[in-house]
Amino acid sequence: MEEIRMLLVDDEDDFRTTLANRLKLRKIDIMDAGSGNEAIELIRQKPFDVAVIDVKMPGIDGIETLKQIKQIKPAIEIIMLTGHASIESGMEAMKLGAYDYVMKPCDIDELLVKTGEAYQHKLLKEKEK
Amino acid sequence: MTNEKELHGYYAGLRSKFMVIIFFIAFIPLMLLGGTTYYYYSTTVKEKIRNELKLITKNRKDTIDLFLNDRANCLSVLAYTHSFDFLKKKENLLNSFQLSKRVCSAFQDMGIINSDGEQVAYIGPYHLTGKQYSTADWFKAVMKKDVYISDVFLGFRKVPHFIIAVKRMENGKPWILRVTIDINRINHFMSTALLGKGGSDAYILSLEGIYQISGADTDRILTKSDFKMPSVFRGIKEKEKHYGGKTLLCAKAWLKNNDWLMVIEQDLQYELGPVVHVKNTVLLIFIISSFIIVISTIFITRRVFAKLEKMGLEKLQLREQLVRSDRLAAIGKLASGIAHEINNPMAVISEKAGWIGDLLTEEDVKNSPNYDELIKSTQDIKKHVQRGKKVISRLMGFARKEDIAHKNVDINSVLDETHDFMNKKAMFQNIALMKEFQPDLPSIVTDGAQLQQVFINIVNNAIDAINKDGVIRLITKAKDGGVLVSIVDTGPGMPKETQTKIFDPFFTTKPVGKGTGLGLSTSYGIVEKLGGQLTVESEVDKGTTFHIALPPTCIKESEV
Repeated sequence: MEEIRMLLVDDEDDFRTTLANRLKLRKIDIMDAGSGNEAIELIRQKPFDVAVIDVKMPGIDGIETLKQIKQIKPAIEIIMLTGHASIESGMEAMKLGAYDYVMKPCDIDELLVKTGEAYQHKLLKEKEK
Repeated sequence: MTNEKELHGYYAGLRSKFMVIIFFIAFIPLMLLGGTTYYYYSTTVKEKIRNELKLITKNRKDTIDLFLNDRANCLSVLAYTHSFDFLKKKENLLNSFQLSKRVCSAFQDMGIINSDGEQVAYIGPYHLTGKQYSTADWFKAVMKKDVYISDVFLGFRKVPHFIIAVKRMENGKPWILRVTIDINRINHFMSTALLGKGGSDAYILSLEGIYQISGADTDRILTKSDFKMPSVFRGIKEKEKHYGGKTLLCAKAWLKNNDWLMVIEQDLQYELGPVVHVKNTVLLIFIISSFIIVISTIFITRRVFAKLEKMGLEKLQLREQLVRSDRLAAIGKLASGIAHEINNPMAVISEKAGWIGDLLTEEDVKNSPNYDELIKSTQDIKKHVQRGKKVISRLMGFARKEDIAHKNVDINSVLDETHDFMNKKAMFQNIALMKEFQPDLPSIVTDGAQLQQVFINIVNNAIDAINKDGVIRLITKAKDGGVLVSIVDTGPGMPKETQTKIFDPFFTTKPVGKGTGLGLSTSYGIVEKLGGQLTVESEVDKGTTFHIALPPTCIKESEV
């Protein structure tokens, strides 16, 4: 299986870099972005399979970033990271086209499972086309 | 006013003050009205009686004076128109007597007395011819005075009477014409003077206080009266006096050239009979009015104050509820803010611990003697981050706005589930979980699953409170179209201070680590969201009851 190409977007540097390192260790082709704008730039430049986006960020927030990414590259599956332990921001994101959401602080295994699912989902959609 | 007892005391005090004020306001004019009416009426009546008595007394005085003068004049005319020699003949005297009797009634007999005091001729019912009067008081008096009217005396005949005597000088020698007056005539004048019957008296006293006319008590004639003789005055005098427990109105007048004192007495009490009647009527009206005032005042103030107190209580409860809702909302806001701020560092901690764990799996570190310890530490960090996450997730649940399901729910069956779910735990601690359901309970539109969470929460708390041996009763009742669920436990109960805090988030009486202090606040939030009310009733050493009042339908949708 080829490596999943993932974009991790979170404004919290420590969290983002550590999670990125751990995911790299688990054979994920990862890139990270510290803000919504940065993420959108990367999306335009490079191909990704899955994007993991924090809901709450300064500047363009997670929901807005999700909307823009879906406009630029609708094929990318998106998993939201909700700092809120509430369901509704996750639910809202899913209404807007996110594949799933994971609550922070997240279990890396849970995130990996959901990433795998999202990737499979993407492949399935591509096949249908 | 912070609690019901104080509120009740406050209203009870206010009610008493209010009642006293109303009593005063109502009684003062009533008493004034009754008092003045009675006073003016009684003085008017008394005045009238007095005037009447005065008038009667004056009338009698004039009548008696006139009567006596008339008789004396009549006798004088007779004496001066006839000579001694003519009158001492019996047939002439009889003629004159009969003639004069026609003009002047009340003559009983007539006699001619010579200068030596011997009655030389006599016409009358007694045999008094030849009687010697030279020692009689009246004889001495008439010899000095020409015309003399005597006091009442017995004389030879031993019957009370009085005489009128006229002295005439003829040829240098005096002789006397004398008549006896029937005192019944005077008695008659006097008896008609009486206004009423009861207690009134009318009599005549001589200068020495001897009864001349006896009045009501005929036996006292010619006895000495204990009446205090006044000095001579003109006209009529009238005053009130108290005698033998009675109040008498007493009028006096001097008669017969100030020889006799006429006294007319009226029993004022008797005469004031109508006034007493008025007094009784006024008193009766007063008592009835007072009764009505008292009853209506008590009735009205009770009703008004019961309403006021109810309103006050409702206001107090509303305020408590508002304060609680406000507090919960504020704490909720705070909680979600804190939760979010803590979540991010916790995520970092979790990731860093995970990263350490990842790095530890690499070869060179694996051989370190502390490898196992390090792995365990990262796992512990993860475990405790998870614990923190759980607390935050519950805290967020408390502040969360979850959608409410609207379904027809049979509360009895929800509680049946609660019972089945909790019974094992309860039995394990020797606690009887009893169902006391109203069988025909109406089903209500609400969210059964969220209610289930509330019921389990409360039952769980009850079991923890009882600890061992006890009873928990699940009671349902239809109320106001909705349902009232009461969960009654026989636990240790709690003081008032604790009761006000139990719905606050993070308030717990359980040991550290056992309770989050979020159960009841979440339950409170849920019940409120469903349009119901969660209230607590508790007494130390007796137990605690939670009431969950649910409306027939929870109209509140996503507005909360």
